[in-house]
Amino acid sequence: VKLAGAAMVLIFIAALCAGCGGGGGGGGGNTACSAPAMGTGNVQPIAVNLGPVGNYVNGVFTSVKVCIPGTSKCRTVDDVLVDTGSYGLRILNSQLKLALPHQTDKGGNPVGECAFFVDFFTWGPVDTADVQIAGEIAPDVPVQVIGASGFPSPPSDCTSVGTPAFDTLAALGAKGILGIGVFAQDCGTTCESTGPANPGLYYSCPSSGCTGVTAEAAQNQVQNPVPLFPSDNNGVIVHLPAVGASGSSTACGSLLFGIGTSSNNSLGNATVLTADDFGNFTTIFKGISYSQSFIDSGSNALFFLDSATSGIRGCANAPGFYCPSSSLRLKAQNMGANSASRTTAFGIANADQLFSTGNAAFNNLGGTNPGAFDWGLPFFFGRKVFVAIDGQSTPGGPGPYWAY
Amino acid sequence: MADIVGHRKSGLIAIALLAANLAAAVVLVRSARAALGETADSVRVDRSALHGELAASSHRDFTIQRISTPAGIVVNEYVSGAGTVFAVSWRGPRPPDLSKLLGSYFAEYRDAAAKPNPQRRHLRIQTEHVVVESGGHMGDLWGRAYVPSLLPSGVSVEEIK
Repeated sequence: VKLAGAAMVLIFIAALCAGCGGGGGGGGGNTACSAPAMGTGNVQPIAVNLGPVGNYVNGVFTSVKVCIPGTSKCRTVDDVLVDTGSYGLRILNSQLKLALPHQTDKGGNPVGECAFFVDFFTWGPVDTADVQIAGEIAPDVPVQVIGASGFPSPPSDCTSVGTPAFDTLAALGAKGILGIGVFAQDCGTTCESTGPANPGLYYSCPSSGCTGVTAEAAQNQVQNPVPLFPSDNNGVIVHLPAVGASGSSTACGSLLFGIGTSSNNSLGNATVLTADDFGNFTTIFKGISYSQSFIDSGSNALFFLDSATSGIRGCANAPGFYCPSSSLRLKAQNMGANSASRTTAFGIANADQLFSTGNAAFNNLGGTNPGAFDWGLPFFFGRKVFVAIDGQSTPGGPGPYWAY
Repeated sequence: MADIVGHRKSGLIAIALLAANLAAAVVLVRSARAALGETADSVRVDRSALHGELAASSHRDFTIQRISTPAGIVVNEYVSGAGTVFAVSWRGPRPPDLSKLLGSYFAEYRDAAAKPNPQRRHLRIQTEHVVVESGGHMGDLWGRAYVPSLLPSGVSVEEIK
């Protein structure tokens, strides 16, 4: 990888920032890591800030280099959300400005996808790109281009779920989403089937309009790029510094590729929590087990239970968030399918007060999520979180697992 | 007719368009009867639309009609003793067709969900008439919707799972 001198300086500054962020505390305001440069080797700088629209609380962002396969026609897109709760790279067409080739189905028609997130869906063609993050390069990766101009509109099977299509920078609050969770692709075998067993994510889309669900082989589905790297490809580590009780305007950390593949990514004494077929584990809180729990850097709070169950009151100004009258120290036990468990302390502060600081990074922001624990970005501060990908071998056993 | 995995657009010729419009009209008539806030009969309409298997379980104050689809989506419809669907819940690799399941409450939900939401990856919508909450992550999405004014007395929201 050839690096220009200016880029080298940026990486040096980012490395300095990553080194000095560990102490946490109040607003740092370090602009050097607000738009992380491309890293080297298996280390990619990441930053928590308010994002490219300036309204994203607890979003963690990085840069991704996308190229037309086999060429040097590339675009480096910054402000891409680092998301352990999804699988695959999705980039807004308006930010990519690069004509990637469409993937086509057996009939020669472009393939479109509606990818469902909790609060929105993304719609656009499946294109093919060479993807580079730090020094790791994955060739010929199926990616989703969101809001591609001239592409047919989403089928009614996508719009009938009621959540909006996020296809603009203003809506998404990020220029793309880098899904690096515990699975290699965004659907798996069910999307390979024909008939009613197919959940209906991939569509055959001639220019006259999408005509119906298309059976999509797993390797053609939008892919988590990490398993496609030549090395350091069995998982990732998300490493963010601690932040203080009133949050921080920015937090600079690292995304490391590979688990136990290099001197800088060993598992150490982290506890391995094996994930189930859905990528979930069990959280035990006040003696009750919640089996649909997971760790998600794309969730911007610790979303768990509801006021009636948790005993924590909701907010006057921020609906869906928790607003205790004084900050709470709580603990829960996370248990994997392998029966390994780890007790985890967490704090919940008054979300209305946190939001009034104008800060971006909070380790104690909580909200409701009936019946489950969604360990969102607050969980990541002051930790190394290991994400082992399904089917990959690691020193801690095969993925999928979470470890910390 | 529309279904959850394969709504197909009709061709270009006028007769095909007419047929599509007629089919859409049939779906609209059915939607008007579907699910939340409607009678228990509407569960069968939803089962058919979802190509699902139906199983019922009785609880103290309500019955749960469970629809399981070949695509791995499970929908629970909560039916009161008076025969009204007062809540629905779902879980699966993608959300089900909520325009059918939420019936006359769907537009209210959709309009509220389109507004900026400071919660990222969780949704809690409370409109004048309906509450919709959803969570999970890619490939494993769940949610519930209920009409507070239709909750039978003695039933708590925590029982809607």
